[in-house]
Amino acid sequence: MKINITTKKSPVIISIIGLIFFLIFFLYTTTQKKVLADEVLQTIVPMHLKIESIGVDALVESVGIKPSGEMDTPKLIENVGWFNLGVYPGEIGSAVIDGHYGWINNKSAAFDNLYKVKIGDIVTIKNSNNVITTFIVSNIKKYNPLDNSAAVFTSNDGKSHLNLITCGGTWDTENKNYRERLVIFTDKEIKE
Amino acid sequence: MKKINNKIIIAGISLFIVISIIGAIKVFAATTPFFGVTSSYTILSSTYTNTVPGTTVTGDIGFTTPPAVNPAGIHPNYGSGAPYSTAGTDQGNLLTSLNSQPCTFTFPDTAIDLATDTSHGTIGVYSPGVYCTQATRAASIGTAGITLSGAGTYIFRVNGALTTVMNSVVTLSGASACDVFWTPTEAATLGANSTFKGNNIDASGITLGTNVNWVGRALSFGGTVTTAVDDVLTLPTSCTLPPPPPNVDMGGIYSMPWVTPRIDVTKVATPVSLPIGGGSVVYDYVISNPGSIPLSNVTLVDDKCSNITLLSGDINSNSKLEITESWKYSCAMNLSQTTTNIAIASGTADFTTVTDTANATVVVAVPVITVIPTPTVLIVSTTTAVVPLFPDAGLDPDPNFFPWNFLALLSVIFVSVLNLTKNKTTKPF
Repeated sequence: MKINITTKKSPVIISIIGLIFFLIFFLYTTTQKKVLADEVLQTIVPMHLKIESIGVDALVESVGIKPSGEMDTPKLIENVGWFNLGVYPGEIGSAVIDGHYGWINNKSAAFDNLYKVKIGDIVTIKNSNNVITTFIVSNIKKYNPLDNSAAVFTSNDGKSHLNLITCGGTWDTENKNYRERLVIFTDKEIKE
Repeated sequence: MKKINNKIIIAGISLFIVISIIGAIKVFAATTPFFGVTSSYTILSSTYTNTVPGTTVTGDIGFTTPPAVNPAGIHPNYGSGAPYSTAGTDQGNLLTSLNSQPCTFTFPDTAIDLATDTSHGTIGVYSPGVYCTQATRAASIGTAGITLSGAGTYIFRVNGALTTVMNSVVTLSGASACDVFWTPTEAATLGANSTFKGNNIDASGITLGTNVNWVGRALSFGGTVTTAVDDVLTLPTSCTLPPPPPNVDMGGIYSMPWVTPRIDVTKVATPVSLPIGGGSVVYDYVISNPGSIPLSNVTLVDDKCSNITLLSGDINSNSKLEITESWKYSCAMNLSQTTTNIAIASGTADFTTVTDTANATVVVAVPVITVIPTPTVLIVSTTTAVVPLFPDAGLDPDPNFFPWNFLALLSVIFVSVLNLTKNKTTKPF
């Protein structure tokens, strides 16, 4: 009788074990996406960006300008890129971080869900000294790719901002480009 | 007797057909083109980006915008000094020659993983030839890697982006890195810890992950080459490089790629960035003829700079752009804001007009006034800010996307629920 019960329950046990293994595997592969080889850091730089409201937890690469004049983008789609010719996040002025939008090889890009961010959401950035700076989303705007971007990359209110950019709108098959740029404006949290 | 005659005729026809087929195959076999001075460059770019120590490059490195951190290794030519611009011209000729060779195999109309594709033959193994993806189709090299088997020339004409995944390996079995060519039309990205072989000609930019081992050349004149920590790039050694193509040789194996009129223009702005308020910029253009026929009615126009002057190049003063000539032009103008302008070169030969374009962007800094209030004084400081154009961060929608993770999760849950339900209903009293 005992043997009979065990035999009947075994599919359930196997299924549960399978589910556990799958979840472990899923969590492992998700974690692996975030692994980046160690880089030798010469100065304090932003390292980690988090937007908990949309599940973004990305490493920060340092990017500059392409020969075409556009801000460069991160090498890995799961990472984000800090514009290294601007200010550091937390300094007075507008720091800018961009990230890819979309999917490739069944893998989503860092800012694939950036359009879900709402005003008031929290964005945190940790630098290479493990100092965490918090920003609060203050505005959300869409631009044409060729619009003047000065309002995104500069500010003159004496405050500290971190602006996030990714693509949006529909895919232009001819130019192989999305038709809009989504910008999330944030202000540094002021602690009382 | 009549039967014997027929047999002889049939045998003769068969022999003729076999010889014709073999001859045809020989004519269209992939060939390694003339490299010119490009052969000494391991990296050729307009912007070379390397932000961390630990990269090693053996061979020349060409760029106009230097890296933040110089790579280790020996590179006799470093920067934009001669023969940098000639190498750029030669890179264009090299690509033209590669593109003129007909495809020996065209992949199905989908993004291709070269490591798993079976449409071309044995999975993961490639013999010499010209392999082409369909229009706008990318190619990747998956974890299983690929083997290039046999001596000869390999041309992978990717009409999209080229990507290698982390830890992937390109293995040579009888092939030489000297004779392997990758010509993606979009950016190339090599995954971390990957091993890559061959010459990648890609003006859209080439980016390496960390710890990439690459024997070959990263040729992106006009584009950006980005290396990372622990990358090792080595120029192929013991290459038997082919001679320059004959001028006009209708009977030679090179004749097919070189009968078409062609024109090539490159454009370099000096400087590429200006301080607040802008300033003067000089654009230098070089027009060359990578085809086989001299071009007449050669013109060069720039959509923003109107005072273009021909400096030199028409060696025999016949007003025709010979295939051995490079015509140099210059144009100066003042810029007050970030500007991208396009140059269009055109020429005519054999009743055909050919054109080529080149663009350049000069970034002009904008002033940022930062107001810092203090209890007694107001300090106003002015700094320089660089304002680029918006980034292009969108990924080409993946036609092969399928959420396997979620499907697998749903399957497990479904089986679990099914078993639970089954056990409940069959529980013995």
